[in-house]
Amino acid sequence: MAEPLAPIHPLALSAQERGPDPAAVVLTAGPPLVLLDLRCRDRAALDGFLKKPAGLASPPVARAVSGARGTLFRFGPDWWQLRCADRKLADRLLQADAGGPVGATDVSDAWLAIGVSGPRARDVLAKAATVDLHPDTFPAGSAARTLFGRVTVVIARLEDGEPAAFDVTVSRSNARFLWHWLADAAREYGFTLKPAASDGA
Amino acid sequence: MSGPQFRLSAGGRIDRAAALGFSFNGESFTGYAGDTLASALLAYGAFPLARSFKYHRPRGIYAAGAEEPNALVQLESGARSQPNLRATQIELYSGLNASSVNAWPSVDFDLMRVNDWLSPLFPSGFYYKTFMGAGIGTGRWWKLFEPFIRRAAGFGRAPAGPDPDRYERMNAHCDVLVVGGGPAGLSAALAAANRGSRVILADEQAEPGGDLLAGDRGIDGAPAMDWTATAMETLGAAPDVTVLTRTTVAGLYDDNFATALESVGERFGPDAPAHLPRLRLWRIRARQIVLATGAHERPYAFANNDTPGVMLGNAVRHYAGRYAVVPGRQVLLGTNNDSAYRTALLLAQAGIAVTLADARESPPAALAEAVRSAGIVLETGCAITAVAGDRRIRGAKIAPVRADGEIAGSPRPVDADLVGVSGGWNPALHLASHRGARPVWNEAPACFVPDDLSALGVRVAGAVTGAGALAECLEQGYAAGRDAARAAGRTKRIRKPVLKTDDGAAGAPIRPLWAVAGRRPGDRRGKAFVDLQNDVTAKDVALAARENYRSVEHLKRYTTLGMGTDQGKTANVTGLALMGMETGRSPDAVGTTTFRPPYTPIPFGALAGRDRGALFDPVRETPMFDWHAANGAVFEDVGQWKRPYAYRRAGESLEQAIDREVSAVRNAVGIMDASTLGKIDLKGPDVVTLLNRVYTNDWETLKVGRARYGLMCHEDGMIFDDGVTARLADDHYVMTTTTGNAATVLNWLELWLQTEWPDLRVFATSVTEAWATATVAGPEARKLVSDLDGDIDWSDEAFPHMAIRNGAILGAPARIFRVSFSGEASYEINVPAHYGLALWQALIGGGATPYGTEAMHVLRAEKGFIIVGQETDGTVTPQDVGMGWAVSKRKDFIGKRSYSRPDTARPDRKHLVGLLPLDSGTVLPEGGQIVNDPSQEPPVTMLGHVTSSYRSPSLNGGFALALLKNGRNRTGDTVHVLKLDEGADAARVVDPVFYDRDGGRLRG
Repeated sequence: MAEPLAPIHPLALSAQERGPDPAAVVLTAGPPLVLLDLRCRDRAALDGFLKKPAGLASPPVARAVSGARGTLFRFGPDWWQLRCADRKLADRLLQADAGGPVGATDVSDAWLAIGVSGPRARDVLAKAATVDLHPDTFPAGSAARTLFGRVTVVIARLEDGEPAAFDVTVSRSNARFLWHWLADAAREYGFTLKPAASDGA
Repeated sequence: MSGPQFRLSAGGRIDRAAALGFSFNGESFTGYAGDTLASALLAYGAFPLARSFKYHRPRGIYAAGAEEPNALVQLESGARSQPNLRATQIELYSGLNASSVNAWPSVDFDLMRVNDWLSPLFPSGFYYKTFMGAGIGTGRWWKLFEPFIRRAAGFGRAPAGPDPDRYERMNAHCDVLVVGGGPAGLSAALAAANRGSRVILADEQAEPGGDLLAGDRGIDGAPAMDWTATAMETLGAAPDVTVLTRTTVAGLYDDNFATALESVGERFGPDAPAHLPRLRLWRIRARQIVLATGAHERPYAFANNDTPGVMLGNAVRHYAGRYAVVPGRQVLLGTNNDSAYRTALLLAQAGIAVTLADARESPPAALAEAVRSAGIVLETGCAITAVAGDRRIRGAKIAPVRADGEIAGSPRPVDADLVGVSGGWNPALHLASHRGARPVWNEAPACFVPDDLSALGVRVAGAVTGAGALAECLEQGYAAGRDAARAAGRTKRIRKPVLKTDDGAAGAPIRPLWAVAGRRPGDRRGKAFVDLQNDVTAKDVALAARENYRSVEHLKRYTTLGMGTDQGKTANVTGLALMGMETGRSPDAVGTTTFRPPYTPIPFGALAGRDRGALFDPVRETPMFDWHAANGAVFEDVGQWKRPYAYRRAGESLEQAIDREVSAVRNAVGIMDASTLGKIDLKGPDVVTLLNRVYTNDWETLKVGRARYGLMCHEDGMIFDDGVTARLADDHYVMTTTTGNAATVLNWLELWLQTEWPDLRVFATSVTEAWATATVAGPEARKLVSDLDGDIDWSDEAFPHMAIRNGAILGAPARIFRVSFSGEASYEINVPAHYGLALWQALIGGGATPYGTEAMHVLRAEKGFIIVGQETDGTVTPQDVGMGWAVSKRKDFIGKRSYSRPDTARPDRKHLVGLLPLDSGTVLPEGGQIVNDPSQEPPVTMLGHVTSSYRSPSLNGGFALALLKNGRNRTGDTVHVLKLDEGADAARVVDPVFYDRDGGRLRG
């Protein structure tokens, strides 16, 4: 057996449009992620660890900061997650953590991102999310790790702009359930699905 | 049924250009857009459309809103049907189909009316006394009568099939939630919105306006509905204001969390657009709340006051003004307060003959003058004593009444075919009560008002405070909205609007009046109903008092006052005021029952929302799921995971499939999707210390590249999880857990790390989903994996049992554990999850047979390997299952001290043993109780139970694992396993390892 393995994306479903206004909600399967969970009890040490390779400083809890080399989320007092722009950065940080104050763990394939955008995006998310997603309380740079119904997700608003576009990170095993859930919830307004390319690239 | 002869020729907020045909009890009717089912039916007259709960007396529409006690209908039929909806709140749509809920066989001929004629035999408490009491007995008689009584007391029918509709739930946040869209609520919403607040205004009607919808009020010299329209425009233009019409706030909870039910597609009926939900349940988190919930008019009781055509006075006004319907030609209005005068004037304007009987001797001069000059006959000092007629009103009587309601002169007849009765107003304090408000008796309007809740961020405004004048409602609404906005941090200064209302001169106080006669035991004038929905009369309340059910809670249970779908909205206060009169107490001394959510019933569909069908509970799928589904997998739920139980081929039984899979692993090579196993990445210099403390065995000696099995116990020494942990580098380990405990074990580690051992430098991170895992097992496993292109040396010397290797397989990074849960040579190959399906397909292409969880269970049971949660149940120690070898004597760990307890140390605990049925064709029942003597007289001595039991193709028969008292010392004994139905199977006690006892096959 020599045929190399190809990665397969669980949200590689056929594209479809449904509901009264197909533009009201757009669900986009995100590309495969390069993700590191970063654990560190000393924020200054983390900042030192990340500054040069990633060019990012640690955000407060429930916020995310973005830069050219990635986006850094904070989920808890000693818990961050770095979404790397490329594999090289992840490998570099994984090499660098040995023996230091930062524990870096590759969790890339554990999570998938679903983009939820369009004028009714907030309404669709509000059907299950109890976080207040109003722009006053959830401006760009917000990221909440929260329960969405009974699924753990990270709802983030990474970019400015109206209507707000949301980035929902979900564990890989729950991704297809959530994808169907969101589509069903968006049916009231109308939606477009943008599934992943079948080769996962 | 003749035509809609009671529809006025002009006026009302109906669209006469949009006629809507509908059906009620099989007859055809026509109404207009803007009608409710109730108003459309009343246009045909105040005919009976329901039968009462207990006496099955004919009943008509009584109110115009949520307080309706009588007109409960079954809306639509089949799976979409809904029981017990109030006709007064159903918006008319074309093709609507409704029927009465409580009539058998029909409204016009109701067999149960016999209950009314026999009513002296059915006093309050009849059912308790007769069927539940000690007299006739409890069991046999109740069984005989119950179906009959249930049918007789029926309130609608549950729908027959699965609900075809969609229901939504929505979470919302706001600064100020305003409940009620009448003048006070609109005023509050404007005051809050103009200060920049995020506002949600919820109103239960199709359009806001509340009392103003009757159309006879004025603000600033114009119709008040003009002001309402302007207010709605202003609110509609505000960026953060949500106006929810057709939305009933059903409950208020701690921290000003509110639930509200919005009717969305319902008003279109079965032809509603498919994308719309029928109902939407809102879950609103409000910083501040303004309750402008208004008040419900209450009647006073008199003889036969339940005859169709007797209505609440203000309901007559609303039907006339809002729907242009007056279901009578000669109207008698009975009142004890000012509010009925507006009704009288509105009717007179429409050309209806009106007699107004005011129980007060001296009504306000201005009002008296106004109604007399409108041609209305005003009778002062008089109350309605009775109406005549059965299915419709054929006249009424009025007479002077004393303060206690007894008749003081001889009753005089009054020609009337429609009667409106106004006994005062009960503030709708239900929601305030949900938040803990105590009802306080207020003498002047003679009603209960909610006490101050502003400390909780809840304010009240309008009629709910007992206010009567429109100006007062607007003023209170403004103040409440302003204060709520300020409390929510919106401090913008706004000029207060000045509004001129048509309230007129100050009125006169109410003359409290609860029931006219009808209370004394010998009174034969006819039933005077207090609670129409539950058929509770003034006499029943008096009976309860005489039998000493005087507390308000006893009154409710004894008479059923205030129960049912309306929860006594028109009845409660009257009932307890009457109890007060019987017992010489004021109404507030009698007290009130507590209002609890919901304000009006909520269909289960709305509560379930999207939690049904395929979306009922989150599903977790492994990366290989699609292959399993396409290749005959029968799935089983393991937590939320879908795991293949077995793969059935065409023509194969499930048992044959399992046998085939087991044989493939024993004789060739099988692969199993083990992606669901919990995987926890452990990093830091103190990992080995953590492992030593949470596992029972020793971890100091584990070298890099090697793996070890461990048992985890709780403080009580009982097994809680097990799994293999491998050392990847000096300070880097990966722990595996059982599928079901993956999250629990991570939380367990975090609990100890965060609370007890913060000094340990360890980070624990779940990587369960980062990897897909395929277990390759069997004598040909090594040959199969060796054929995969990669950089792993698979030889037994280079990669022995209990070793771990990192490398590349077919170009993908891989982490391989050589561990075995089957007893065969076995490799657990982990690749990044996105490669999982491709790896699986490559292994299938290499000739492996996929096997499911049941084959895995058989394979491991043949080896005597336990499954946590199957062989263990939280009362089983490592020693009990024969794993004392995995319990260190040298170190401390969680649970260790429990092993010195006498109970865990005694030698005759239940031990894990093997059982072989004497008849090899038998598969013992899992869970079956083990006894020495199946013929023992009860109580039978129980010795343990079968924990796992299967048929084994390798052993050619049934075998089982069991927990047996003193089992390790009973090898060779014969025991008996009780079957579920009857009888027992005999089995021999054996060692729990059935297969390859020396472990030679592991080396492959």
